[in-house]
Amino acid sequence: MAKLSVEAQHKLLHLKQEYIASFPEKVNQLQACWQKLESKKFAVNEINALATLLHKIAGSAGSHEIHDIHSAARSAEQICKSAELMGVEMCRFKTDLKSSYERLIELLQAPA
Amino acid sequence: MSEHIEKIAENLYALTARKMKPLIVAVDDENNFVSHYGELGDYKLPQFDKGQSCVEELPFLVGLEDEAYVTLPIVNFNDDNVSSVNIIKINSNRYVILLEAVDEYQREQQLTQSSNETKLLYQKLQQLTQQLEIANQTKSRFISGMSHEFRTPISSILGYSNLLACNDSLDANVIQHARAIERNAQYLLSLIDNVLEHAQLEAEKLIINIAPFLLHDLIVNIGLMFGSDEKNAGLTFNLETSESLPEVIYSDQIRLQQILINVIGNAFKYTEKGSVTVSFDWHDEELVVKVTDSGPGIPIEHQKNIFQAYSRYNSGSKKGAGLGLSISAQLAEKLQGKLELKSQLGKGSVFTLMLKAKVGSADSIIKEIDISNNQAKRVLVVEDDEDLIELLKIYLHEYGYSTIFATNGNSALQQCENEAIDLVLLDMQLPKLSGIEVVKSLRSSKFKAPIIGMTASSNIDDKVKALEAGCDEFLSKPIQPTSLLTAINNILSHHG
Repeated sequence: MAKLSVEAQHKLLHLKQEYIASFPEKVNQLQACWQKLESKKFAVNEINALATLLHKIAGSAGSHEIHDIHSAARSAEQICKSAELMGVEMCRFKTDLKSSYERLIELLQAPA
Repeated sequence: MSEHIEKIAENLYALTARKMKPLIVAVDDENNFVSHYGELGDYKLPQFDKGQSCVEELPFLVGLEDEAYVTLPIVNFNDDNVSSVNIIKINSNRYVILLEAVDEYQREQQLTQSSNETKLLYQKLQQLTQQLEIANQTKSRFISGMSHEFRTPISSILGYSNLLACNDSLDANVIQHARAIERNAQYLLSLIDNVLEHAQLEAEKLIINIAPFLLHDLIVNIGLMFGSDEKNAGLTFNLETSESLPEVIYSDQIRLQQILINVIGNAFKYTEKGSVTVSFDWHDEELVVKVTDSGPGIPIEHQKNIFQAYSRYNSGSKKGAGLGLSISAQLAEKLQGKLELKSQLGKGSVFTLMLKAKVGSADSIIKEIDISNNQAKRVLVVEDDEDLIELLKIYLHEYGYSTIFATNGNSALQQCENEAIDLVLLDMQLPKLSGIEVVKSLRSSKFKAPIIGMTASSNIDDKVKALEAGCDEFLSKPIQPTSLLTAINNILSHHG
């Protein structure tokens, strides 16, 4: 990796701290999406919304080198995408997604 | 002596005269016959009376300019006479010298005919080349399209079989079946990747990115990938490095790694017992990597075709499309190198990769990237994720670039129209107007600045689509600062 100046490293550290501080907000967003999904039998828009949110979390966590959250979000995102493609029944899809989703929530709620 | 020469000259003259049938017709200033020398009948000319007009029989006399000497190389006159005509003017008379030129005329006719035929053949060849190019493009598009179509459901099968295989609550048999599905889906996916890569190489769409990198990193990666005893099923894996290896070389690390993974992977695939040894050495500005296995070896008659596409030497029941080695050899060529094979039946095989490469210093990885002139460069970052926007801002400012931001495609289009922008860094997965649509729209509006696409997708098709739409480069997320800076610098240096 290219060497960054001390100032940039401080900025990055600060940004990472801010990012970690935003985890509760991300958990809220995820839970809101999940509730909407649970209340419907078949919800393409809700799956898309959740996939977009997971995609963003995966991308930003990866960029901050928080690998476990990156992987958990990416794996949940993949399940959403598979569901979109395969037209998987909601009940089955939710079972598949649930463990990935819960793992991600657990990681986001873990003390930094 | 001179007697003989004169004799020979006489004979030669007679021979030439017989062949060329010289005829001289003298006419006055009004083209009326004066006298002649030679046979008029040779040119189907009548016996002229003195003072008789010769214009009808010798029509080329009409309209001649008043010059001392006129030459007409080939003239067709008076009932298909073909001759060369020379006219000499002396005082008021003109002397028309006719020499038969049938042979020359025929030669000229033949030349014209062959020239016309060549033109026709050339036109046909051009048409065929165009048709072949179109057919080849159609084939590449078809392969690319089909690969994508296959890839998507296979990814799904992979994902679900993996979920099943990881589910401890299921019966052991079901898990075993799920693993078999997963293994085969993985195999299908790698086949499709190879077909797609081959199509890209054929269409010359593959991008090679030469940059300095630490050889040590590459060797460690290879060690990690193939060093696991569990994966190697009893085979010994040896990794040897020479002390003469430079620390840093200039090449495309990803492609180099791809070649080695392919060749080493094959060595493991076809070797049932013994060892696979990979040695890294440096000779005469060349990186030399040897992959030696104790496998069954390859018969000599199969060795010459081994690097050709779809060519397979099946020494058992091993599967494959026969593309891996062809892709590796083509990639080696693209990296200014070559891949060679030495093998003896029953005694294993040695694949040798030789790669010309410039040596760099450890510092060069950072120093090579000159950031002193970056301040004048303005980068538009199109990204909808606020977390990433902040991160990119820090990286780009750190490298001296000035930045502006857009969080969606429409706003990016507007900024490109109204602002002076040197480079666009574009997230390909934007909401509403997608990255591909933004690129297409910019390129159709003659937007010239380079565009770097960014995506979390590992799908090679997405990269091809982005490049086809008009992106100049592609970066995978998560974005690494070095690759970001290298990509921007490389592109801006090419765009002046």
